[in-house]
Amino acid sequence: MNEPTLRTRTEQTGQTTTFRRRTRRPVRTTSTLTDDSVIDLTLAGTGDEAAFGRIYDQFSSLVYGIVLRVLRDPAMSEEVAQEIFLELWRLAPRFDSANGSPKSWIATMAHRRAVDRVRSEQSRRQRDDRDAQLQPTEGVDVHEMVADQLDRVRVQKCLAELSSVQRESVTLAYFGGFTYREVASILDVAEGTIKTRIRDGLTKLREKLDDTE
Amino acid sequence: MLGSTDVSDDLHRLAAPYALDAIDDSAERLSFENHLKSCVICAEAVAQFRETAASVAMGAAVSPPVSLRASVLDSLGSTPQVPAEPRQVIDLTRPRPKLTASRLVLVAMAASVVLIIGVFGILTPRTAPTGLDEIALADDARISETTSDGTTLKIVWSPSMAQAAVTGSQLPILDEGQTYQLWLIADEATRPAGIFTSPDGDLALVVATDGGMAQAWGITIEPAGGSTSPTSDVLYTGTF
Repeated sequence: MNEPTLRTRTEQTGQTTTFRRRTRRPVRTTSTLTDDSVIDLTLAGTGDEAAFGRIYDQFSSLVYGIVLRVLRDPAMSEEVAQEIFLELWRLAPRFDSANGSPKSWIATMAHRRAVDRVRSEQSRRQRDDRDAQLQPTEGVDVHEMVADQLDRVRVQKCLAELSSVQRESVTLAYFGGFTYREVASILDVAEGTIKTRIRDGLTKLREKLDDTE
Repeated sequence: MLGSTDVSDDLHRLAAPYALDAIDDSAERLSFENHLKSCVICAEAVAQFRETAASVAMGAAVSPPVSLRASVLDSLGSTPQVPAEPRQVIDLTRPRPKLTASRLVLVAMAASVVLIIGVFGILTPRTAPTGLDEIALADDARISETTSDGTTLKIVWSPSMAQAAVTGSQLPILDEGQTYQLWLIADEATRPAGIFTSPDGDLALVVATDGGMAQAWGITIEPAGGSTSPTSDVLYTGTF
């Protein structure tokens, strides 16, 4: 858009303005509003359904992807994803960007719900199959498009940088929905070791993800 | 002494499994959650692990069946939201959070409130409002509207809340490295208020101001980060 009113800023010493150039007192420092999802989620917290629609559009594949990986059942995943979104809507007034990004808030809630469901279901049909857990979702009827191929490639690359024991521990705990005790039992190592591997794995992942940003 | 250190170390090591919901034992989880209230290090660690986990999850994103969208959105009307009280501050003027302990402290100081340790699921009542509607409901809310080049910009400002709600659409799109900035004008002195951006030219957001008086306001385009005095022509201006 090239509005005539929009002047390109010149130098710091720039153009004169209709304002006097003096500041009388120190003012509260403010900072840039950078993240649309923060705005949308905040608006959703005031009952704005259109804003929540935008949150849905931005994060539905994140939520569904998490649930599908943990539950491995598309029908159940759709039902749980619906519950999660309504829960996100219900709790949106409590979202606080000081505590984390919308992405993190949403993923945390989605993951917890999925894990609660899988643990309460006790339907561990495939869950004892360690190999199945270590693979990307396969055998599940996923016709749906992968939402963001770039994210997928980037994350796969970062995961590949972990040692295999770190990768297995993180993947089993997060995508498998197993507790660290279960992971210890599956991999046949001490519980303390698993706690350390998960921590080290996540720490390394964070560094790698930061590097590729 | 050593004993208690060991216990604490042990608790610290639960931050990563906790962030991944990988603690099944409810007693163990409760004891860690209790620890979280007083341990900034663990709170910080959990927040970062969760951010990382969310990024990893982005790599597993799968579009849900198309029907889910309507089914979710149609249910919103019949799904009541939790009350905003006790509320956590949602300060729209803050940048996307990079969580650090010092940042949490700074945020609390900026809001002139006591930081009540206990993030993540623990409600921390603090002062300061945030919703657009809350500003409009403030006793001292001042409303100002202006139209320029077909764009109507509306400002609702509450000095006592030190925040202004700004709404409008079809604003000129900013170039990279630019930001809008709100200015308050009193007795011919112009002082800076919050800066904000809008990728699509539409606005509905809350901007921080100071709590002083002003008779007028203006909006300019400034270099990213804002300026201490305006460096470009005013785009919109109005009086309160």
